[in-house]
Amino acid sequence: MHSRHTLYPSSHRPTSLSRRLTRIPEITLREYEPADGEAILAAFNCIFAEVQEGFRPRSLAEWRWRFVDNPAGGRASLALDEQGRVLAQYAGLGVRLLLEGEEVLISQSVDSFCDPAVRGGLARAGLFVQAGRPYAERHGFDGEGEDRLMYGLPVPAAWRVGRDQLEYSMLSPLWRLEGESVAFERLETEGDVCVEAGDTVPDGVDALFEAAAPGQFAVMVKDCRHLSWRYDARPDGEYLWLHARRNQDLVGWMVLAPGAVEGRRALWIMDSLVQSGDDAARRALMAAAGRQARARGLDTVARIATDACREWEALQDLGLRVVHSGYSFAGRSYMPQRPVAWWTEHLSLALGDTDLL
Amino acid sequence: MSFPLEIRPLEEGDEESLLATFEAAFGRSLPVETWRWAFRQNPAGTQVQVALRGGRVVAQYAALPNRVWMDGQERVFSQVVDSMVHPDERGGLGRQGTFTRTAEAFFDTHGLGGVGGGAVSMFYGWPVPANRRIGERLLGYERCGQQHALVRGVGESHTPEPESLAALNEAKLSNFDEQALWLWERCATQLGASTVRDGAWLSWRYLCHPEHTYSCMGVRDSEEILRGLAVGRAVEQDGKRVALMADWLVPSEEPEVAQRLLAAFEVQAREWACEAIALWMPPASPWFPWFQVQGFGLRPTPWQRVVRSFDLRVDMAVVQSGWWYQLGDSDLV
Repeated sequence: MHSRHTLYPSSHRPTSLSRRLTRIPEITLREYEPADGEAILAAFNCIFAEVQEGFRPRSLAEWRWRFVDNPAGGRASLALDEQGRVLAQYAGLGVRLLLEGEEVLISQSVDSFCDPAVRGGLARAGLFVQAGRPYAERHGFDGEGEDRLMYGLPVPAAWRVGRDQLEYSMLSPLWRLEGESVAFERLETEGDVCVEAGDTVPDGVDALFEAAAPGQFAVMVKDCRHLSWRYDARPDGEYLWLHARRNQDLVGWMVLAPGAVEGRRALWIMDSLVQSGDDAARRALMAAAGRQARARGLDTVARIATDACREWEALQDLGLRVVHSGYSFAGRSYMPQRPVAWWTEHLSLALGDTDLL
Repeated sequence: MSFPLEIRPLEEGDEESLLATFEAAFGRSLPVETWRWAFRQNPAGTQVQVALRGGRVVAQYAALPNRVWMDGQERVFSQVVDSMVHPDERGGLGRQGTFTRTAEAFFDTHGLGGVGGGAVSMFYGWPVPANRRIGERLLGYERCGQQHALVRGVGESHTPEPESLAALNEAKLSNFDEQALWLWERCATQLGASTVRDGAWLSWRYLCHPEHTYSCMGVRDSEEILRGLAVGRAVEQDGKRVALMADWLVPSEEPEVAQRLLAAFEVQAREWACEAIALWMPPASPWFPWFQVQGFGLRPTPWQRVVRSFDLRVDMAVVQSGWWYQLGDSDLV
């Protein structure tokens, strides 16, 4: 066993941190447990309501979906006071990744917070960092069942702290690609590809993923197990599926969601997959997305992309224009042979790989 | 017995030894005229730290400074270039090695707030992968993402010229006078942090280059006022002849000037027998979407941009969204 596993058992054992504190005598740092949901949510909803305009309290069902039901698991390090109140959390959602043909885990860092009342005042590095460091030590490692990479879309303040104290590096700027719905609706499509709308993951996604994945160094697993959790099982999720078929065979799919990202209202492409080189299927899906956007009164179809996006040119050729996003795709690699630069070049990100919608 | 290492700023007389080490390190020679142009004639000054052993230059860490206007103040941003260590010294690429010690002495000398009283707010560059890895590991380089270029085939213009362009005339510029500064000042409020593109800088960067010939195109109005500027040259890239636009300076509220200038650049690209036009444009610039409307697509380049900031005001938000730079701010054109 690695020594780091012994540092943060899931029992409520106080760490040495509590002995160094002066303002609050006892702080417990430990891993989260499913039973912590209500305590985490109480703190999360209280803190985000104060700092995020238009914040809607998160339900226990949503929290369970994220952290308990996720097929790749949830992780969180908590800092609790003597009454068991959560003062800080550093958390992440597991992500299954096909890394040169082998399935491994990485994670998306999300929902981290620190109670403003104790931020920075409790210890030299601040409670947020105090929660983040054991999280990284516990979960970040180049080994089976551990996170080979942690990534996220930190807001500027979190980026600065993460870079200075938690070894975040920039992986890529996050780009928005967007175009007018009406232009996509008018795309000429080939008659042999038929696109239908649906509300669940279609049959055949596993076969399509298996056919599309080879040749890619790093690709997030988009199989039925993941997609059913990400889209179909999400409480209050409003996702629309497009299924592209050729001779009854699934040759592509796309998941759409109406909403606003960075204040930009659009029909957002959460995820999509076609086989490499199947431009007809991609074009047919984009045309259908344009129709769906128009039917919902949305002028814009948009998606996000990172530097490693494999469809970068094909999407621009379809009429999507690149817009600078305020977000950055940041991360920390735990694989000595795969430094951040490697992930920059090989890992692409879709909106569905984030928690933005 | 090996000689002790001496690390200090460049001095008169180092030139010959430095260029010999350059050839040993890079496997190609650097003409002395080009070296002088870069490091002795830059109007923003000289920033070169050398390491010597037995009187011979064995390492260099160097940068090309630019005067940058940001938030109503002049600052200095410097592009790190031609940093090297003699192959005989490469055993010492670690933290205590010759290269790292030279680089740290350089940053101490030139970085804002350093012991040498330097003024450079930010160093930046597009290093080759090996240098980038060393820089990230040992020298505090911070990666900012892939460098992208806007690219369009020659002859793929999307928009016809409007009639209102009749009052504008394009001209080849053979010198830069005070009108260049006026033009940059008209643009500067929209640019964020940007190199002061005055006559001295433009002349040094484009007209005085000892190896490359740049075409400097201006658009003037009926009163002979310079309304827009584009600079470029043809290069061979991956077996293709490409017209690189090194500089683009047009006020964002004057798209008719931009239209005329791009048309003139396209004519030039055809004369150069180029297949494509390529340029860099910061994504936060209004010209970034404009060029896409003109049919340019964003394409990744092999280069990763890195920075090292010595100024709290020049943070990653400025680097990503508030810094206006062009190909001409690099040594890649």
